[in-house]
Amino acid sequence: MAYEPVIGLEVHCQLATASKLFCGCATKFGAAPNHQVCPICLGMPGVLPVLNRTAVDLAVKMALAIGGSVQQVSVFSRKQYFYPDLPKGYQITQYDRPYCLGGGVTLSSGQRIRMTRIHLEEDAGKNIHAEHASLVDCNRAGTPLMEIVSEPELKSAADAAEYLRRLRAIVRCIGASDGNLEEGSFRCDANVSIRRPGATVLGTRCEIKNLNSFRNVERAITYEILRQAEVLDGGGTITQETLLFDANSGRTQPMRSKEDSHDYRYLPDPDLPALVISTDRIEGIRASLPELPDAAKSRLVQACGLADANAELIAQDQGTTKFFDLTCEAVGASYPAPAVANWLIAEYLPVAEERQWNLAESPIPPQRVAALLQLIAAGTISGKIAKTVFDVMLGSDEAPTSIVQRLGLVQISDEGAITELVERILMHNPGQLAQYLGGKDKLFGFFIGQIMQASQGKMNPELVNKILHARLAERRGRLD
Amino acid sequence: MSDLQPFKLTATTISQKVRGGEWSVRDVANFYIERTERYSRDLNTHLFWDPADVLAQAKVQEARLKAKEDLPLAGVPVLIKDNICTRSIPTTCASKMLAGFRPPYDATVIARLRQAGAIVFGKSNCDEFAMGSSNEHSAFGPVLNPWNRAYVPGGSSGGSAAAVAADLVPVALGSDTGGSIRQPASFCGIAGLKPTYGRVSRYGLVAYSSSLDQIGPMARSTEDLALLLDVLSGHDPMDATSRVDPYPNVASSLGGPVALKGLRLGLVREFFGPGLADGTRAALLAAVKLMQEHGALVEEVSLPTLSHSISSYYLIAAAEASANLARFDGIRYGHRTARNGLSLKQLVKASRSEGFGREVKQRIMLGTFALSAGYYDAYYAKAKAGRSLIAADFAKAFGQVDVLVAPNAPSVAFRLGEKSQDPLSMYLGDICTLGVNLAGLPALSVPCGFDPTGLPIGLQLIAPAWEDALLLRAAHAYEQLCPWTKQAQPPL
Amino acid sequence: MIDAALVQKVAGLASLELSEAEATYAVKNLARILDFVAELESLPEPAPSAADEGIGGFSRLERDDLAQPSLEPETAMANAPAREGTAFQVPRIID
Repeated sequence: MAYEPVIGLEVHCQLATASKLFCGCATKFGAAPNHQVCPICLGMPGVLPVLNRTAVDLAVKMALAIGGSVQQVSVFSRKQYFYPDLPKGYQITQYDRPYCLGGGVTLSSGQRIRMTRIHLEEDAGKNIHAEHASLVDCNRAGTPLMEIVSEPELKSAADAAEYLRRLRAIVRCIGASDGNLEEGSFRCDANVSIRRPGATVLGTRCEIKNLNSFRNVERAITYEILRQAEVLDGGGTITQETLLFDANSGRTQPMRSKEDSHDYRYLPDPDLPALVISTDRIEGIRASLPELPDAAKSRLVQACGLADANAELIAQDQGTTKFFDLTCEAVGASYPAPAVANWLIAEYLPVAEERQWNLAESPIPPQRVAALLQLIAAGTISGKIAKTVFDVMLGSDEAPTSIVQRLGLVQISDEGAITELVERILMHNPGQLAQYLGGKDKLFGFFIGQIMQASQGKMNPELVNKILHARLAERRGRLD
Repeated sequence: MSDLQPFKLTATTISQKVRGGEWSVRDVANFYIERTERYSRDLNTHLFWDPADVLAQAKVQEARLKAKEDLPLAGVPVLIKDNICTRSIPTTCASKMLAGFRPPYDATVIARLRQAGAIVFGKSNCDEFAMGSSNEHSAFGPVLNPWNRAYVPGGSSGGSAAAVAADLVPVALGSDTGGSIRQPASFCGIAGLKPTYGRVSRYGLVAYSSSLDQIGPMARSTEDLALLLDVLSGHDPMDATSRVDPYPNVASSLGGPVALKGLRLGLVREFFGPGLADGTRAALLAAVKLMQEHGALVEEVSLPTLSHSISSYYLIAAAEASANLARFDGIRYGHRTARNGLSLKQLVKASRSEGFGREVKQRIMLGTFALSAGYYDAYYAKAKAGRSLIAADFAKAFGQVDVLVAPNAPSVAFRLGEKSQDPLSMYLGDICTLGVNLAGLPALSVPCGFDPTGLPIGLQLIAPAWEDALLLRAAHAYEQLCPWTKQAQPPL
Repeated sequence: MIDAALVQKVAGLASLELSEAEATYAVKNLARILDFVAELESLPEPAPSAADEGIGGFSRLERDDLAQPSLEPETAMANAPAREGTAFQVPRIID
């Protein structure tokens, strides 16, 4: 492609507060229409907004987590337009004086994507479209949002998706939001334009609104870049438009309601004093910051010796990192950290994802997992048997040692017993033995299989391997 | 009860006698019910009132008295301007847009009144959404001045002013954004107070201009103003613009004429120019002279930037109002057009256009224009600049004097219809009161005489921010020397 | 400067529809008022902080993040001009 994509993302992230930004209504998702409203968020005459302290704290935490500059004084403004899901006929947001400027997120390529700003604002309600009418539900109206705006520095759809994943990992790590795209607590709009490589002027951009999954973000941006390229290649020009992504067709389409560029008539909100955030408050919040995903990853690589990819995977989720750390702590030197990581990623994470478990509240405590890993380390059971034991652990509180005893899964490491079985298998399979001795090395695996089957997997695989190898080598030697 | 005579009762005496057991809440209530039944319709002061509800409230307050609860406003009926929300009671702001609207909550001031033992007597007529200076812009007809029914009572709190003047209630609540308590108080010969901005909660006051609005009491005595201010004042966690501060009791520290000794009064030169009616000038100067005779020191002060008041006020108020009134779209409450087959956009437009009166629409237009792209800097930003200058001028003046003296309007009440067709000339009459709201200061009007045609004149006093107590002491001192409300009553 | 087109544009922004008479009146009225307020032009603009801090010394109030009981849905709907169940009903929005 002869064009360079230029992408900027705007993320609207719902803050994980108990109550709304300017009133005390609960923010819990899923209530019946207008069951979580009050005169304030309904925009009734005479009501006034009062700011939620925790929303500010979480917003400041986010600013610090991405290295942004928290403004000591910021201002709430009224953004005016008419729409049924906007009860007051204006949204309380921050316009020319947001609470955070700058900051950024570093991608795996090393490129740091800078933020323009973050500001606080209230969410609108929801319009539900029926056949004959539309219905307005104000439950969501007034929910606190952070609007996180990146500079147009992303260069590909893949980078955009990565940026979002990292951003989401951060908001979840610091507890600012549950970052759920499907439920709408983490919404993304993408601004996409293209230009000739080396050009300094930005091309006309189009905004793709309300992308509701990482995959759709990537698909939509990919399509849009191609679409714009086609237009320019055909000699046309890009019209600045607002687009929606149709997940079924995989295409972006202009929104049908032709929104002329709105005149929002911003007005500093006279009902809300300027937001003053003291240095003390900022430092107090800074001190409460947890280990962020990037820092966790570095630590896992440098201090724990994990491979880059594994460290990345574990560090993305704070709960998983904590679980990993506690397991390592409990298991001690007997089972090294990289091995713990391997086991966690291969055996536990897939199950947790399927069952939608958050490892921060793991039903199986790290100590019990550590006990299982210790049994492997001690050679009491093989890795393969450990899978069986873990399966049982998923459904009960039983300790691994007890499971192993009860089901008779203790690994056999008695070299004498193993040798006996190896000899028996070789004797019972003369044909394959002859073939092996004749040069068909692949049959080694056949013998292993037979031995494992006969021993119900209980024999120490390394020893079986060693002894089988020795017995076969001895026979080969006798032939020479 | 023979003690219950027209024009003889004040909120202060009522609450004293009721608490003392001399009068019953019920008897007081019935007294005012009877007067309201007799006069309110002709004067058009009331938009809603229900005698059955009044008596039901009386019962409740009687029970609380019996239980020995401390009720500073025991049994006092209070009429509420209809832009203040009262739970389950129609609150229309004198607009078709809110005809029949019953708020599911009480304004904070209402809760405080009820808590203090008062009876919420009913809702008074006003200019639509508090936008007006004559009470001719109500969707439910104008209010008439009890002193001469061919004249306006002033606005926007015209209903409250006229009702108190006619003694249909001892006290009422009004709201003041640019003079809407003081000017009608002056036109109707009663006292009215606009507290310092932030002293009284705005929660439940249907917003007109959020940075200027304040609720305040209207009564026939300064003592009553203080009594009510004490009940209404205080930080409200539901209002982020209300101040957290202790509010020492004012009613118990009013003192007497001795408060005038050494009090430095400043006559605002800009208001005593050629535009001031002779009758008004004479009454004001006579009042000042009287105060001087009792020890007050008088000098002239100049606040030159007051010339920007009208422009600054109307742009800021209209801009804030245009946003505050954007919530009226006929979707969750309020008037919805009966026309069929409209798109959503058309439905909202039609509902708003049908629901709002002409003056309201004009102000929304002005405000929308002032905030729109390309015009913000030239209009709204400049208006804010004017505001800062005016506030600074007041601050400077208070470096020289304690209390400022001014008229509430260039003249007495004008005739119905005289100015209602010319908004600009109506706006020009607000010159005496707007600056106070722009600077957030406390100010009041106290009766100081009549003009040759028999229409009342009010003396406006202005104090520095948070000096509401000083303001009331000065007014009370003057009133003790010259109790105009005791000397004359409107012909009913 | 104030003409019928501008008045229509402003009315549109404010979601108002003006009759011909109202529009004519608005043009005249607005023009007069804007002429009057033009005197503010000579003023210098204030520094941003002064304009935004507001008047009167606010309390810098924030509230604790505690969920409070909401309105009963029937109460929330009690003033609704049109409803369906506990939702406000409006003409179908075309998006």
